[in-house]
Amino acid sequence: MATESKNYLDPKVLSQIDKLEVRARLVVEGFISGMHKSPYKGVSVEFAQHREYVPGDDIRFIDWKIFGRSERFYIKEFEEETNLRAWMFVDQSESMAYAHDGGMSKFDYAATAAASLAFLLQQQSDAVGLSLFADQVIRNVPSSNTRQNLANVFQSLEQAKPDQKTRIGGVLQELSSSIRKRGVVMLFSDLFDDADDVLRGIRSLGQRGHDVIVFHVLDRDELEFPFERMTMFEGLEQMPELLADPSALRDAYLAEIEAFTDKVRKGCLAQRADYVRLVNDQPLDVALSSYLAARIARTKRAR
Amino acid sequence: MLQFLNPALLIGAALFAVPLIIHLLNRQRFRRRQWAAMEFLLAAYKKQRKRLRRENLLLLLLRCAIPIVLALAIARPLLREESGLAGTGGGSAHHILVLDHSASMGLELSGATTPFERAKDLATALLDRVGGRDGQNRVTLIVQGIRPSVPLREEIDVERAKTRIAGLGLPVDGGGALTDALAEAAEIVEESSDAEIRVHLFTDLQVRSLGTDPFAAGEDPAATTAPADPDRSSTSEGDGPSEEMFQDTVADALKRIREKAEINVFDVRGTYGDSPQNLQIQDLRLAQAHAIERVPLPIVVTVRNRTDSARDVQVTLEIDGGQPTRRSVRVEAGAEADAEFEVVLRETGPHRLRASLDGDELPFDDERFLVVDVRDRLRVLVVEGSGEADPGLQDATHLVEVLDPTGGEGAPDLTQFAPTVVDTIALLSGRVRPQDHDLVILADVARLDRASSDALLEAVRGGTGLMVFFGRRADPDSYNEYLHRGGTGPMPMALTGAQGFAPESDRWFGSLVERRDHPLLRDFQEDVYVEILESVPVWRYVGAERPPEADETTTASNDGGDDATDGPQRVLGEVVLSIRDAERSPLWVTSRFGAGKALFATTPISRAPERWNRFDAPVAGLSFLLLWPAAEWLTVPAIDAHNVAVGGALTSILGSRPTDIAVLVPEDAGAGKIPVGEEATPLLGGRYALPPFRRTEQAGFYEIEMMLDEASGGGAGERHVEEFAVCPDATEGELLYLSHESARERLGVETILTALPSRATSAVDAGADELGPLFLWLTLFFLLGEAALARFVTRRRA
Repeated sequence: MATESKNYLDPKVLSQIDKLEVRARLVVEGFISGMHKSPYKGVSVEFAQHREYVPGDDIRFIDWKIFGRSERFYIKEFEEETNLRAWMFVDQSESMAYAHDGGMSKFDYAATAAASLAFLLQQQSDAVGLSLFADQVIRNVPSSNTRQNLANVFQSLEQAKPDQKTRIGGVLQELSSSIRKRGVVMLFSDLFDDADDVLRGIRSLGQRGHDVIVFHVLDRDELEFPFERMTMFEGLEQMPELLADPSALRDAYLAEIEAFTDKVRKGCLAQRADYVRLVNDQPLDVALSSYLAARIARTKRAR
Repeated sequence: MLQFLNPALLIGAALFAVPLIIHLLNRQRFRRRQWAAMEFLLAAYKKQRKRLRRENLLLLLLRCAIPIVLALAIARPLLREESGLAGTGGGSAHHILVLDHSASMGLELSGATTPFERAKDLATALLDRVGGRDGQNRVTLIVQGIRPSVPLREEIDVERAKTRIAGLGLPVDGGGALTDALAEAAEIVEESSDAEIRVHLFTDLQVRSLGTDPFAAGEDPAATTAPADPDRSSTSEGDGPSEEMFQDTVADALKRIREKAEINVFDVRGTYGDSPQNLQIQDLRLAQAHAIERVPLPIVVTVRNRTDSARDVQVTLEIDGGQPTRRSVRVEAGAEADAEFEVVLRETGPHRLRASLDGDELPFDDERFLVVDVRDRLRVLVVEGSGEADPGLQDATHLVEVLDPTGGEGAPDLTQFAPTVVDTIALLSGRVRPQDHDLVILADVARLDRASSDALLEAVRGGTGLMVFFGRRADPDSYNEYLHRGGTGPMPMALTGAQGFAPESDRWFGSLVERRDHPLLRDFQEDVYVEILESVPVWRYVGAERPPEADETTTASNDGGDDATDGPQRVLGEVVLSIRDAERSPLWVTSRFGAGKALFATTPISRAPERWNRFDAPVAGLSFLLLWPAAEWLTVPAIDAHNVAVGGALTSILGSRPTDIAVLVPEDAGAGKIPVGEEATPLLGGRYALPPFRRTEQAGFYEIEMMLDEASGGGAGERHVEEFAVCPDATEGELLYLSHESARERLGVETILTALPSRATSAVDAGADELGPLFLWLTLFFLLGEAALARFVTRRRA
């Protein structure tokens, strides 16, 4: 079964599943075993809302006061207060739409990863918020640990279309000023913008006390540039075209992209932000679990 | 200046466009791909752009250059030096083409074109090359037939030169030495101001064409065949042409040419292997001096076998185009044999005889022609000068008895002479004309005068024979004045006066045979007859200086001592018999004067009581044996104007003035009528010499047609035809060739060419360096360079 599960979590397979929630569940179920509790334990709960009782609900949460007044069963739902708030910043600029032949686009991959982590966090009663951005913030889902909020996160991710120009650095700075409570900020982006601007944005998040995790989502093509035939490269995000023999430019291009990613990685590390490179042909469960395992281990060592 | 041997192949250079087209097509055939990391790709491109452009451009240039340099290589460019003379006309090349047009160039080996056709093809191909360069080249064409001719001199129009070569007819039926043509070429070279001169000689390398025939005299027949291999010498030690044989001939002409020009020698034989097999008719002649009407005429055809095996040969004789007569004769290898015919010609006048063999590989000498003038009798004028009243004592009586023993009553087969006796007055008064006779005999004529002697000389010059017997009445001074004429008359010696002893005395002289081989002494070949002749007593004789004697080569050059251009020449004589005195005084002296021959006897043949000798003695018919051959010999003209060798001049002396002269030439010479523009030359005695017609390089029968002028009398107002036979030069049929090895050595050339050179350093392309090989190397270099650069670029980009 483990093998089946692994195959099922292959990005190519996942990309054929439209429902992001399902994808997230599959991913999380793939690596959740062994991770039973949130490392951030809540100390209280807050009432959130009432709803009608349906068979199967735990009768402990029936609000007997309302039953006394109306003789109808209502279930009290509580928002569990937690000491972890997480924000998912997902880049929906046009460059994220790139996908290698037959593969998952970077955006889909990022969205699936974000959804998976949101699902995981929500499972652990941590609050999760979402910001979709390009050259500005396009959509916000406030941070909450309710199921409804999670549904909103999923819905927002599903509806997002990567078709705009990017301005990562500026947007991150705007977002940093808009999030008042400290928490974990997870940035999903290819970061294809000026590296210094990007790093400035990340720095501003860190300066606000956020724990920043940069998921650098890249396509395998972008890392290996495997093309052979004469190709007309059409730039996304209003970049110009270039007709070139890929083999003639491969070395120089790889040097450029390597220099960029290296600069970003080092910049993140310098600002105590986690840098995680996600390549969209990697099984997501492996990529996330290996990172989370490493992070848990690091947290334990810190205590 | 760059020129091309194969300019049409330059079109291959258009293939340079192929890499360009591939490049452009590749630029059209690309995939479109949206790309996110464009910023990094652009940055990489910006950094690599110059290097990539440089590499791509270099590859493209190499790939485009390869078809271009390859096309240049196969188009064979020639780099010619301008010599700094461009525009002055002095910088152009002058090609002098010398074509051997001799009969051996017409050799028809089975399945092969003739050497002459190959020569024409090669010359045309050469002109194609010359013409393919520019219009500054000039062409001179020298054709060596019997004589050299220059049909084109410094012709600029190459096409015209080619047309002229194409129009050259069959090789002539003889052959002159190429020395003459090369001397002509040397002269042109020396006069030319061209900076670049090339002489191209096209020949079959026949030894005879390149100088004096070194094998003419009795050499091994095996040595007279062609070599099986051109590079293997046929001239083994001892029987080959020695260097001396070429001195002052071809080698000298070539030396003169080489001082200013380059020489190419082309061997155009083409096919080597079995020796050419040549049978030829070497001679066609009468077996007797004259053809007499209705008298059986023996005819001899001499066949020469120049093959290496004995042959049975069929010889055909045709007379006036009539029914042919055939004889079979066996001829040993390298030898000659006679086929003998006997015919009876029933009409007087000229008759055409043609002898032929079955055709072989060299057809020109398989036939031979002869024009025979058939006579009823030979007219002999005997001028009796003794003054004896008794005919029995007259010298003329004895002479007539010898020449016509039948007294005019006999059949023509008994005597061919018809003598007429006149006295001296008849001659001096002009009542008889010497020119109307075949032979004039002056028998002890005392003296001559100017008019009679002029008539006599003119008759002899025209072919009439002259026999003079000096006797006791002969006035030496008169003869010296009118017949010796200071050495320019027909009498080659000056007379001094009568000498000797009293007739019938005990003291006498014998004679001495000095020219035993002379036709006059044909009946004295046996020693006993010579002893008889030499022992005949001679009591008296007219003393004479010994004449300047002609050897065999100069005798033939006697032309009558009245050459129009060089002035009178001294007439040479031959002493056939001499007196056994201290000075060996001449007894019988012969000379040639114009077309006629003369005999001077310093003692008469007489029956007079006071005769000076006993040549009249009936012993062995002595006088007959002396006089008959002499009369025959003298009546055969020294020059047979109607039977000439190829290249000879056709002319004749006529008694009336000819007008509207035209020559009918045989088929091989064009078979047409050629008008002769020149007028006939008037001679003394009211006679006329036809203007010589020299275009007789093809054998066959020729006719000169004319109208005889009425005013000049003698057959006047009639259409008249003179017939001629032109015979091939049989010596040209000796197919002995120089090997290439020998030719290189003798002619002083490095290479004997058999085709137009195809290599870059062709000597034909004077002053031009062929760049084809250079471009081939360049192609290879570019190919290797392209491969190396492509590999480097590919590995770098992989």
